[in-house]
Amino acid sequence: MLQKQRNSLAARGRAHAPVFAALGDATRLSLVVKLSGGQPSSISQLTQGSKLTRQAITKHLRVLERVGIVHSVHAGRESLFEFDPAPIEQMREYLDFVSEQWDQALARLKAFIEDWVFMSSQTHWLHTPSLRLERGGVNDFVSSVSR
Amino acid sequence: MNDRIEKRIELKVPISRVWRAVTDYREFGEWFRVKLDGPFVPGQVSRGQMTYPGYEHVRWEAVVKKMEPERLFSFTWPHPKSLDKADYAKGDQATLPSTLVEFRLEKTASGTLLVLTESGFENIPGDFRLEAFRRNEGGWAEQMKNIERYVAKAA
Repeated sequence: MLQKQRNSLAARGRAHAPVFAALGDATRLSLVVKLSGGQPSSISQLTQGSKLTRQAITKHLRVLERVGIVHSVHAGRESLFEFDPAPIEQMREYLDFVSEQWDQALARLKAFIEDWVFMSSQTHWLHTPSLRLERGGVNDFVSSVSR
Repeated sequence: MNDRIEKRIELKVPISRVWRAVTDYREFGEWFRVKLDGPFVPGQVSRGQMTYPGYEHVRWEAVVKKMEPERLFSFTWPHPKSLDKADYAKGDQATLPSTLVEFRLEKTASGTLLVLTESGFENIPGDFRLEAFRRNEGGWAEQMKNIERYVAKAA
């Protein structure tokens, strides 16, 4: 069960890197934003309002298509591109996971520092006369038992 | 797309105490759960062995980047193809794809603000089992929670 889970998690991990790479570009991000509204769009529609050529936009769409963020569908003579949220959701899930790891590590850091503060205060108490006396009492008790 | 992780944590101790907990290799090892071979030195590879229960066989490596006293500690965290010692040894740490981990410290009225960031996930290529490990660590944390719940119920 655990092994199976591990394998499927590893497999999902593998899929994330190209998604990150594909989104690491301003033009492609803006294409994703345009398409994420849910309406499939043609290359001409996506080129409108952009300084880039149809060819350049097509190239970027192909990169997004390769990682599964967009799919092309044929509508007559035209290719329409539509958005698929799954790869981004998986990536989000992965980042949430790493994020959770850090939450745990930082919680341990906090506990570590707080324990240290507590220990220091204990040491401090041992230097106060009343506690030293009490500690002496405990020592006497221990030594009396061992006798 | 937000591909970085940022965490903020307030600690009610002086900045010098937090700096030590983060940059002293023994103290770092205590809470990060890794036994490091030696002190952190900027520009050098830090090596160690995980102490996280169930992962004691896993190596830990990072390249220390910056150590600006009581301000910034950073390291790059390479993502080798496998966690085997051999794969670690083969790879040049400086050229392996890695994420950047930064600890930033700021003095506050009540103590210290620690800001942790991890960035550069877009650099990590395909087959990386370290991620599988890190994912798995979450699995362990989940197990611990399960045990806690179980104990609470049994009590």
